[in-house]
Amino acid sequence: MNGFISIVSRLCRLFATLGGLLLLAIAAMTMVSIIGRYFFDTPIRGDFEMTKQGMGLVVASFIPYCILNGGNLIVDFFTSKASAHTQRVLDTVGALLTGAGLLLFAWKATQAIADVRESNEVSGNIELPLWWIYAGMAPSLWLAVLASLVLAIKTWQGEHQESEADLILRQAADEKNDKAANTKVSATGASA
Amino acid sequence: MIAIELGLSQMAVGLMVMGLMLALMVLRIPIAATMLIPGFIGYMLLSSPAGLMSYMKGVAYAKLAVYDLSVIPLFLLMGYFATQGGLSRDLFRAANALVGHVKGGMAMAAVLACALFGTVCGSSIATAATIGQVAIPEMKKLGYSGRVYTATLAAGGTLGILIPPSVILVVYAILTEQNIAKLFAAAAIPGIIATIGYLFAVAWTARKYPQHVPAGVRLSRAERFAAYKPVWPILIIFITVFGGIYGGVFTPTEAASVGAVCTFLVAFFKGELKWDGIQKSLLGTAQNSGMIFLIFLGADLMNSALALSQMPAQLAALVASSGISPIVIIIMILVFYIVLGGVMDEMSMILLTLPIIFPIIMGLDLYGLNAEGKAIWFGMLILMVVQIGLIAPPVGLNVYVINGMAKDVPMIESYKGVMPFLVTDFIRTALLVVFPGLSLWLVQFVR
Repeated sequence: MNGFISIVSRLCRLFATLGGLLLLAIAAMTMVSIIGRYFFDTPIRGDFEMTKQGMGLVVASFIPYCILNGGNLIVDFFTSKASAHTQRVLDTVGALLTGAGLLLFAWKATQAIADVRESNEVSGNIELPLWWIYAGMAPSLWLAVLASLVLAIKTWQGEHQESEADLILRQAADEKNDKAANTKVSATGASA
Repeated sequence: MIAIELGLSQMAVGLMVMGLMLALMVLRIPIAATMLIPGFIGYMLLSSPAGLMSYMKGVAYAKLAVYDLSVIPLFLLMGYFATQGGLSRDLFRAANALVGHVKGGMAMAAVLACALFGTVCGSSIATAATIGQVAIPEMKKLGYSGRVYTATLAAGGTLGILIPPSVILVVYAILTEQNIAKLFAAAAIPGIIATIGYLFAVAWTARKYPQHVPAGVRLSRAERFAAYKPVWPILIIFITVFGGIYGGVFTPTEAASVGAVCTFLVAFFKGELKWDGIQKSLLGTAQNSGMIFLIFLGADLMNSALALSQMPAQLAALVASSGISPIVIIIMILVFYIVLGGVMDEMSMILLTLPIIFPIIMGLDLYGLNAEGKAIWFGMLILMVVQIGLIAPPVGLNVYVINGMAKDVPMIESYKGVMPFLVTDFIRTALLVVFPGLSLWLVQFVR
């Protein structure tokens, strides 16, 4: 069980990082294209399309990480006074329902790959085969289903789901500790 | 249609879908799921299970592989690079060099630093937390009371979403199919008014509670110039990005790309952005955009179901023919949003309600504005109530976060300190309701 949780968590992080790098690459490509367009009259062919198609991959790859890391927003106003046990049960159900909803997305998007491939759909100018994008998005959607499952397990085992605000606070505190740790390391490094 | 076989009217299904969504929401079910599950059911009832299945095949691609959507992760990324790259410290020092010598000057500097940081960051909490990390310790040291420094940063942070780029405004633009560049232009004057209002709030606090606010510290001329120097790259990025958008040189996506890459380069060459910071930026972007897009998918299912039920259109027609004055309706909607903002997260609130509220607005006659004018103006009003929701009790997210960062300040003190800022928010909102031109005037210059 712990192996499963750790593998899914790592995959979520990996997908998000790769998606982020792709986003950065798209931004750089766009910038090169703009410079080409205004200064050399030669933009990168198909830059809009590549951005559009790439965005499908990028955004899908972000969803699993977000689910595992407290990105699953809830309204806790009405239940904040409820017992810890009730909250835990409801949060587990919530994670499972999210997973169930995503399951339908993942399943149908996977079926769509074959359809789109058969119909030979391509994007406008540079004729990128669209089934590539469908095929690239499907693993992220399946991972999102697994991430919901992991979240449900963790919540059921009693791990508290952070609210958005708590998450930001924790990240701010982490950063401070990191900085403190870094200065310590460099201080000892210098003395050594 | 299954609903008819079951003897349900379209309207009944629409109401049922809404009711189920609210019930799930009260029960702590994640917002995305509270829209997805009733959306599935409603869609199925109003078409057929096969209809839902064929819709689901294309929906993830159709809703996520969208050119304009890229603006959201790109502006988020730009904000993270600015945060990780230590740009906030430079901004705060420069602002402090500018106004730090008057009483309450450092608090004013924090407001200005938030406004400046808002030009590269589109999120309110990120702005508050980032500037807070540098400003809170210095304000504490100088002798500001907890009430004043927590309130100043919580309120100042909201300038992050008001001053373009603004993530929530992009979400609004996409949902209502409006021009992002025009919405950004419309937010410029309200952003400046807000900054001035907050400076007044600080000055008023300094006068009314002199014991909470220390005197300023005057820097030498050389110190001041040294503080201004590191800020110019940020100003150049801002001018390029928004000059480019407003002048029609690039699309918002291109501008956001340029902004993200340039901010990355500036942070990198300052030597403050290492692989660790880059990874944090990527993961932070992933988490925040994932959150928005997940709710987007839920909202899409929900809206498709509601559109099939024709409830929004009927409701809009009903309100338009009700004989209530349009301005009264606008005010009622704003009050509704402020109350709702006390219960739930602002981004979810917008995604959730806009499909129903927006048709109502478009059906009203408001100062004889055309459709685009109405949409842009209402977008500004939404921005104002979101801003209020972020700092107003009982649950102002910004206040909560900044108060948590400061650790030793009672929450009630922070809310007391926020009051003068809130007053300026309400005055500004009222001004915008009465004078739509304040937001719409600049829009005409967008090419």
